[in-house]
Amino acid sequence: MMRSIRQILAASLLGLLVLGGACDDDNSGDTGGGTPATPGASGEFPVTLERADGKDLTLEAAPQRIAALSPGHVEMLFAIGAGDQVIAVEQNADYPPEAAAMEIKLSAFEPSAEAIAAVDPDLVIISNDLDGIVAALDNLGIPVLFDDIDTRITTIEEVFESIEEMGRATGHADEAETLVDGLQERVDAVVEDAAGLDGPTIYHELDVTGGFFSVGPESFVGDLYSKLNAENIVEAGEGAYPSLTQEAIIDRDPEVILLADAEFGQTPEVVSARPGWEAIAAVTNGRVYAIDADIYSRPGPRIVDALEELAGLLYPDESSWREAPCSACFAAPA
Amino acid sequence: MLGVLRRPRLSGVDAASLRRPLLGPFAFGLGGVALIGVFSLLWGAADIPPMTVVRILLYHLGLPVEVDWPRSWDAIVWEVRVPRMLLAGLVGATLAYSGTTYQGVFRNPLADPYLIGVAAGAGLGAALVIVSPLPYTLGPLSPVPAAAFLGAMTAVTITYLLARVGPVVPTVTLILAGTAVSSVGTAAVSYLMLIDDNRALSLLSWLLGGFNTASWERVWLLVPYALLGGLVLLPFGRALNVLQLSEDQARQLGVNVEALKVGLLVVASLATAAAVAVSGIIGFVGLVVPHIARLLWGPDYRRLLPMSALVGASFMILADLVARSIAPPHEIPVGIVTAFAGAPFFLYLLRRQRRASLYA
Amino acid sequence: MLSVRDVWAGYEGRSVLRGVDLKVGAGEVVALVGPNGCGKTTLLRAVSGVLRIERGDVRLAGDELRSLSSRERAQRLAVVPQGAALPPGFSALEQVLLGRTPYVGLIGSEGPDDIAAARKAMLLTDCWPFAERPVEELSGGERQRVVLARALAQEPRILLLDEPTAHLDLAHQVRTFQLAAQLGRDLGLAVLAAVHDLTLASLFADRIAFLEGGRITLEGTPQEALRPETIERVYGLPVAVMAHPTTGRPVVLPDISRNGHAAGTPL
Repeated sequence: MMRSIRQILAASLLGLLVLGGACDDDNSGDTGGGTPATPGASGEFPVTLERADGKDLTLEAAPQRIAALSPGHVEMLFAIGAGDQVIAVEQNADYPPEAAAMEIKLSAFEPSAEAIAAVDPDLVIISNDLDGIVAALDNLGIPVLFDDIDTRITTIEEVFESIEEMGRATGHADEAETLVDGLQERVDAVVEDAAGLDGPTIYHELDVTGGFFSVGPESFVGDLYSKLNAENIVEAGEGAYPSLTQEAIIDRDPEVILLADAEFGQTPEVVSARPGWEAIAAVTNGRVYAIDADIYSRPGPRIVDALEELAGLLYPDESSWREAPCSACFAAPA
Repeated sequence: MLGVLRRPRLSGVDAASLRRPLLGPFAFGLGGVALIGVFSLLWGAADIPPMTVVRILLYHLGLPVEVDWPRSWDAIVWEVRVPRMLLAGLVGATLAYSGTTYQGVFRNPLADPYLIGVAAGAGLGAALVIVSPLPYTLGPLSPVPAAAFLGAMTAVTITYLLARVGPVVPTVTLILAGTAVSSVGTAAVSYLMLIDDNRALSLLSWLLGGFNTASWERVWLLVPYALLGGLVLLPFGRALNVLQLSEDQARQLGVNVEALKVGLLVVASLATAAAVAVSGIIGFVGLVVPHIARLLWGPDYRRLLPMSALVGASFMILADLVARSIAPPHEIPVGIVTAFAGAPFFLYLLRRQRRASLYA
Repeated sequence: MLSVRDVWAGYEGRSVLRGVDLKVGAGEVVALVGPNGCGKTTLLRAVSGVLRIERGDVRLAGDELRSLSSRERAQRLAVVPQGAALPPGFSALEQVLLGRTPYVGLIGSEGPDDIAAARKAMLLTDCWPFAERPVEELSGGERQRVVLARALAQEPRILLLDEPTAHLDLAHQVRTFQLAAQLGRDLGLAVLAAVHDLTLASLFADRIAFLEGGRITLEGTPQEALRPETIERVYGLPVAVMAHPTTGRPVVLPDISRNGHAAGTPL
């Protein structure tokens, strides 16, 4: 259920509101689930990693009690076989099922140094330095790997770099490399096939409660569309996650609309019925699709699934992609 | 330039000359709103020639105009720009006349229409629906405006009941109770945002308010409340003047102060709740527009109520025009524009008019 | 005209007035005196319908106060309050027109009758020359006359004055009272004025009523009421009372030479 993009945008909007109130994290606590784990096969320690804040982090041995405060990192860790070393996950980490079933949940949106320290981690992996949490954990002497995937990453390749970094940090460098090689191969195949095609114009919708939030080419989600040779109605230079005017969307007339907010009620039927939207080609041609926002906006290994699924949605006539694992398309209008 | 707005001189004192000062500014304001309204329709992210915009408007008003524009332009002008402008104008007018009423009833220049819990209540109502599994749609029957409206009215009712001391509702108690209720509402919204951080973006963008999701439906949702509120409050300008004396003096002049206060607040809150329900919590307008009107046209509530409504409408339409067209295709929260544009203008008036004595 | 019989009233269960009896006839000026906290303002608030009466009976021109609507009451009785704050930005005329509220109603607007009444009130109080000036530009004395004019614009038959001159200098105090008393007599109003200054009360009132412990303990002409022993008992201060050199009315002077032992409190 995690939408890192949503969190970042929300955090940026938060500054505009005056909302008092204390935060209350009740997920502090019992270290009940401390799983004993064996270190991974490959890996050389000590290892020194560079953090997003420019500082170095040196790990003397493979960490055995990892608290992963971003659903993307959780997916990466499990995908490279470091899942056994994870003892606590971000509260929105719902994939893979082993991570979702984990007892200790932490909040990355309102991080609490106390709650994190209480699980006694030997490595905290964090993607957002909200509320000065990195410094707070530094002060407590808890090793923190600050890898700002949610804010930094703008391409799939950078996701792969982060996966490799996770491999080095956990002693699973070889598995990470193998995983990335396989993923890169799939990406290359799709990109190659799409290169010669005439891509449609697209509008990707994140949220419409108070404004039409979308993604631009400089965003990580936008990179999927660039790779598929599709033309985003948000142009380069117009922002990574712009709040568009409704008028601009109608005017730019996307041929395909992808709804990352379908689970909040913005289904293809609802969107097609919006006043004025009947003039949009995507609506006229019934090319409004609901997508699973978790996969599409989370920097993790499954982003390649999203890319393949998207290829099928954007190019329905290219039958070679029909076999792509359709992980998320739950509805498409007639 | 502002000659028409100056305090009228009473030469031969008769009833007509006392009423006349209302007409000049009112015509001026009404013309201003109409001009700004039409003007705002000409701009937008889409590059539509102004003449075409005008012809699209005429076409929809039933005039025989040959359709030679793309369907998308029609949708942009008639389904997006027009309802958006109308909604902004209605919300601006409603917040401004409600703010004027609140300031008059509380005899406090810092009162705004959110003072006794409308905003916090609406925010909480909207938040509950947004984090709930109910589907939120832009279409008819969208539960968010309804929940926001109910939340606002509930909060105001709680404030009123808390503030009641026997048969009367002392102003200070009302403000304190309103602050307490608002704090609880705001805290609850913050809490909901934390426990469902998925929906934090939706919630925050709703709370910040704006007109990007405007539609004819929302216009029709607001129209009855905005008009009713305005038409009911307008005749009470003189009564608000009387309230500017002390409450004892108002009573000694035969005014049932308690009933008047409660009645005015209920109507203003109802209208504000409807405005907040369709546009979120837009700050500043309800607080400062009444002062702008006061600085321009003096403290007489018979003039203030209609004039602040007109200034509020013009101001909000302009602010929304800036919000949606300053950085296309981006939209910036209109509350930012209202604060950025309104505050300096207000300060300018305050210094230039030397009417600061009004606040002595 | 104004008749108060056995009136009890107070705040939150504490009765400040405990059976007040008082009558003021048409064209008569009665000064209500007594030490701080004796209930002068409370009595005026009770009579003007602002404060609920617990027991007793107030009649305005023959009609029971309770039976009158607030508008009817305000058409018969007007109040010149203590240090009335006037909202800035309104002209003197606009302020006086507010006095027409009992006739105009909540949502009406003033007609020619109302303007005529306001004009008349302003001419009587000599406010007309500055009718169009905003009140914040007026002097203290001018403002006080505007407030008096506003009360007269109510066309009342009873006029209550609640220490209306407390914040004015001597000349304005005297002139305001002189004006109010004279207008009251000329227009046949029943005037009841709460006054601090006994000498001032003596100069303008037909009768003086002492309010003490929530009751009227003494009432009479200035000569009858203002006796040294009475004042000493009520205020706890020894005084000398002399005759005014020209009017012959009593003038009250504190007697500092005897200060202290008469009040029974050693210094």
